Amino acid sequence: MRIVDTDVHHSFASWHAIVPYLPPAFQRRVIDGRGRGLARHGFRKISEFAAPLATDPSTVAGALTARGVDRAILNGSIHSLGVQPNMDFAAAIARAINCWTFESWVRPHPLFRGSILIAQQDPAAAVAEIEHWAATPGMVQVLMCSASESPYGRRQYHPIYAACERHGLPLALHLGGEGAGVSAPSTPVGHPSTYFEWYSALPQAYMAHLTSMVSEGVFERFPGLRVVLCEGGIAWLPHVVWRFEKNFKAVRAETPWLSKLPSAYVWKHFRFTSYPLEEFRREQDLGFLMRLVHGETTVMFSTGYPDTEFGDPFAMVDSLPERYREAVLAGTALTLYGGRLAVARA
Amino acid sequence: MTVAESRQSRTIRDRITLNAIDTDIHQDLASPNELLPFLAAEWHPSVRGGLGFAARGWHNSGSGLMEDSIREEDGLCAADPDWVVDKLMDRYRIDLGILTGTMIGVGVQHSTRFLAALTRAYNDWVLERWVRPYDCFKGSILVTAQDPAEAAREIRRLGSEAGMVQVLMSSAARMPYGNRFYWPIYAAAQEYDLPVGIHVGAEGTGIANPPTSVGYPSTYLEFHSDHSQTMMGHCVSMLADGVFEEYGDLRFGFIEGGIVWAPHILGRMDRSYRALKAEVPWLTRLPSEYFLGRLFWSTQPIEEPPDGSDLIPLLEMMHADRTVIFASDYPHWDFDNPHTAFRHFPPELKRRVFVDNVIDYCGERVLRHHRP
Amino acid sequence: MAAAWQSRVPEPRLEYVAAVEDLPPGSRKILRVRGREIGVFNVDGRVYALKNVCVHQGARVCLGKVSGTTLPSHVYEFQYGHEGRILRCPWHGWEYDVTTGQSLFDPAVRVVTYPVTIVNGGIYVRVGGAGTV
Repeated sequence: MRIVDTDVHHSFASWHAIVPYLPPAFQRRVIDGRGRGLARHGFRKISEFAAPLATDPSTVAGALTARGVDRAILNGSIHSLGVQPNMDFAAAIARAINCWTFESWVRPHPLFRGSILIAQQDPAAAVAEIEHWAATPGMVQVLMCSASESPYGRRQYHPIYAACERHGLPLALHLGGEGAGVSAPSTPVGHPSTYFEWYSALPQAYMAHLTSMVSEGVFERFPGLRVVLCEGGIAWLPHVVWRFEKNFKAVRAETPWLSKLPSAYVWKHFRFTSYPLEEFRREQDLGFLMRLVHGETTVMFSTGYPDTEFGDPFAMVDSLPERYREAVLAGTALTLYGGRLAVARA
Repeated sequence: MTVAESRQSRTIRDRITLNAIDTDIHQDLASPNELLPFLAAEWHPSVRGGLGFAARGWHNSGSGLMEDSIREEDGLCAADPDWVVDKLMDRYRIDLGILTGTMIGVGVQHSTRFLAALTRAYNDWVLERWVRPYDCFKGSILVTAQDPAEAAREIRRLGSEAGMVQVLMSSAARMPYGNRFYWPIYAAAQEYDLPVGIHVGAEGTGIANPPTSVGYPSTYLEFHSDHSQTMMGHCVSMLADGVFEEYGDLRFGFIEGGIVWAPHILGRMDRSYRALKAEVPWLTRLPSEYFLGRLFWSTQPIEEPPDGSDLIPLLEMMHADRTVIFASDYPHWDFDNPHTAFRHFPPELKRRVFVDNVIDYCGERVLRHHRP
Repeated sequence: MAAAWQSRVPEPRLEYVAAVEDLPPGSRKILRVRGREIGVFNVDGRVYALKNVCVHQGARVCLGKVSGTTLPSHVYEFQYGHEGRILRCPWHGWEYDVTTGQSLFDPAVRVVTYPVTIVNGGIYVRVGGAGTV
């Protein structure tokens, strides 16, 4: 396998695509709802580059295969389930989306692998969803939105990590729901004004989650857990890790269960998808950042298809120093997802 | 030039004679009662016995101070100007210090009328107790961003004071600082050629938002580490909302929020802007093309990579030779020792960080001998 | 040439720092010995000598608080121990085990320590000459 795309935003044209997979009570809600649905953050993308939604599996498969992609992991286009105020509705939507993903995309097309979408605000329901799909070939990871009421180190989320570790499933976080529903505003200083500003600030959610998960000993409790941060770039990592580690040396007594320095947890347990990388002025800057983030073992190729308005994802990886390319394009993903990536069906 | 000599002179200092200008010294009140003489009687009940301000729930497990700077007889470490001159300025060869105080959290407290009176009294106290008697101490005009009209009035009231070199606000806020809601502050600051500095600490307190975009962290370890996210939120906002199109001469400083996150923010904004520029038609160039000469980052707490030389390329990416300004954060526990914390800086860069960039940030007023 | 150079390196030697009775358990002294400042601590009846320089940013580490601390534990557990043995640097709070000089977050990070000998009621510390650690 030469190229694994670790972040594809597959989508449905209308909610009716998932209605068949909802329990009858929720079917009525969606059908009668006249288009009202999930809580939204209110930032609308205005771009001359906006692509049509990726709603047809064959079209998407064709487009990706034409660029040499051998496997594509589907992360969907709904990244706010975990901050919807009605937990039961959110859990039902998660199940329905997972069924639709599996039946329409994963089962018929060898290219695609699915993510088990969960709504994390009800951890027990989320665990049940993971248990439901864990043994299904073709589902390769658990997916939850990074938008949240609380940082992910907090103990109410630990049962989710236990389930992920139990089944050897990586956990992917995806940006996009920040500021919607019950989530905090998308920056610590309130709501931005435009989608551009909102999008530029999104990785701050990852910074907070990463610090939280390490601090609260998630990786001491669940040493097998791996977390994928999608669409957040990499250039923030040196600052965050160095500041975090400098602080840890000072206040270690507050988190005595940490047996390692924070950086050791970060490079071992976190992975980062490549699209989009930050822009750098000088040719050597990207290679330098890749070294600082241990890119040969932590960065995985992604396209974000069809949302490729920030530049050609393949060109971004082409500009990497040669020694990173094989690992980024497929090697690290193959190691992370293991046999699940190769085996399509039972 | 010694402190004593400089106290007599009325000329402008030659920057060549300077070793360091510290952009973040937290001078302290011995007690809030020190403000009473500067405050109308109607507000005295709100100050006597303590301010009772909204307070945060995350704390360093020690005192939060440099333990060896605490004066034995009264437990104070920054309430006496002569003590600070001895323990900081003379000991570390710092010629000038910009005072940022311990009341920055006024920006997230509740009573706007009281806060207007309180900040006026506080600024008057800073002038009388610290700035006017000591040529080495420069003051900040503390304002509450939650009331931009009042903040602008305060800037105009004190903007001509020779010893005031900065407008100071909390970085904790209800809305990102690029929002037009705050523009009266920038108009006043630009009018008086004063930079606007924002300073961490009050996140998640009072009227402020949670300290992260995903809610409240559990530990002080996280809380302190998360401060830079606050700064990033404001940085994106200041650039994206076109503040520097409107106020092209404005300088804006990120105090105590760390440094080398700048390449990430500028890099991600540039990447996003190319696709999303239709949303921000008021911008006439790439976001990263605004920051030189306008955005400044104070050094403390300086990041400490395992290999110190790894800091240098990141500093180059953000043009640290023009954007980074020295800060000690005396007397807080996370103080950076200027003698040892910059070992990996090339001498020319260190010189710019310690002196020249600070002059660019404050303007030449910082070199003036302000003692009447 | 090598011999001439070697003769200029001051040999370590035992230096008297205090009488045993002047350093009861739980106490410390800070003093200058052969050109450097050291802290001498009595922890539970045994004496230790640490250089008074934190390896982080050069603070006078021996002035910090001495107490116990939270020991390695399971997540969300707090076990307090090492009472009287942990020195916290007065600046950034780096915790050092007085009995070894090692930091608690990384045993490879340590302050300089000096061998201590007790002879005839006197505490002696073995230090090199000025210019050595």
